[in-house]
Amino acid sequence: MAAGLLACACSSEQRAGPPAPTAGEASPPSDAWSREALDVQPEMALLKRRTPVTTGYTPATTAWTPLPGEIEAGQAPSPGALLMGVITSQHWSDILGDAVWEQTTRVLVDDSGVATGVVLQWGLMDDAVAGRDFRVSMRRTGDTWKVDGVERRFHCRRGVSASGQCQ
Amino acid sequence: MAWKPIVGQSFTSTEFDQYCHTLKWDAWRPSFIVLHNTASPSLAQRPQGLTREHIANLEAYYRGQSWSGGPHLFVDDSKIWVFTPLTVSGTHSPSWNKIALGIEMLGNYEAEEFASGRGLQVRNNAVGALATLCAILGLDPQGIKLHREDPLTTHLCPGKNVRKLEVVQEVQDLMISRHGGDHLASDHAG
Repeated sequence: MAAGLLACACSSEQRAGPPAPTAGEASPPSDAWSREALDVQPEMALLKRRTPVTTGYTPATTAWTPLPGEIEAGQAPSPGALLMGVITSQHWSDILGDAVWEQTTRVLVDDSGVATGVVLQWGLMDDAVAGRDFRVSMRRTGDTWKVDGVERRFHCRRGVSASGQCQ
Repeated sequence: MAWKPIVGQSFTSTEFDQYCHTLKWDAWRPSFIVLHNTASPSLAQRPQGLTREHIANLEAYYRGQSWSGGPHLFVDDSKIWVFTPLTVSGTHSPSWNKIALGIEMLGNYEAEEFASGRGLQVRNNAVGALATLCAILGLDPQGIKLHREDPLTTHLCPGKNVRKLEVVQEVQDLMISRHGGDHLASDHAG
């Protein structure tokens, strides 16, 4: 796992008035090709704005946690191709058009042979979870790219519990 | 998506049973029922239970998601509110929206009691609603699912204090006491 990736802790603060920009929830920075912009789900800020206080809901995002289970990803000539392979092998896209509205994929490559891909899914037809994101850490070995690790997080419509899960 | 207007009526458990006997599931018929809790608002946040205004707020919220519907019922400690019509599909669990009814229980049963006080009253109303729906639709109570069983997401709903086996047993017991067993799902098999 690339150093620093696991340190990302996403917002679980309670909403009070206009939401402050936070990791994973703010509008993308102008420099889209940046680590700060990589995993931003702009729809989360919009969800916060349009969730009436009268509902008692406090939308928030869980922290990244390792994805349980094995990943059958193999290797690929580029991080983009590898990310697409992971998406296919994990069947993440299978729910598009049925249980989820949209999916965004991004890849950021640095100069040290490390890349990070994200898969941001939004519009889950779930009364507790608005979206789910996956973050794939990749590393170049010779001419091929391999997966180092996969994490996930959820965007919660009602809020995040003390145990870090959507309520 | 076109919004399916909510019913917005509230019933006691007995009235709900009578209401459901007037419904016809011709266009859509659920295969099982999914149990949820509202989490937020909790019971403590709704000391008088749900009001018509709360239900209107919830309708505005669900409609604002660009969905065609929401859960089918909101159950509090005194009433069973019919939200999305029980005869059409709703939106509550991504894996099961097309095939299951969704019942929301007022409360946060990760923290609040489900075996005593107002939580028990919510539980009793939910069990009453589940027994009615299982009996009328010929559903096996063993098929009841908790929202947290949906494999597409990971969350607490409906909270650790809601134990599936206990709820299923109570639904079965109530169906037997109401109907002497003649409405159990096994009678509908074949």
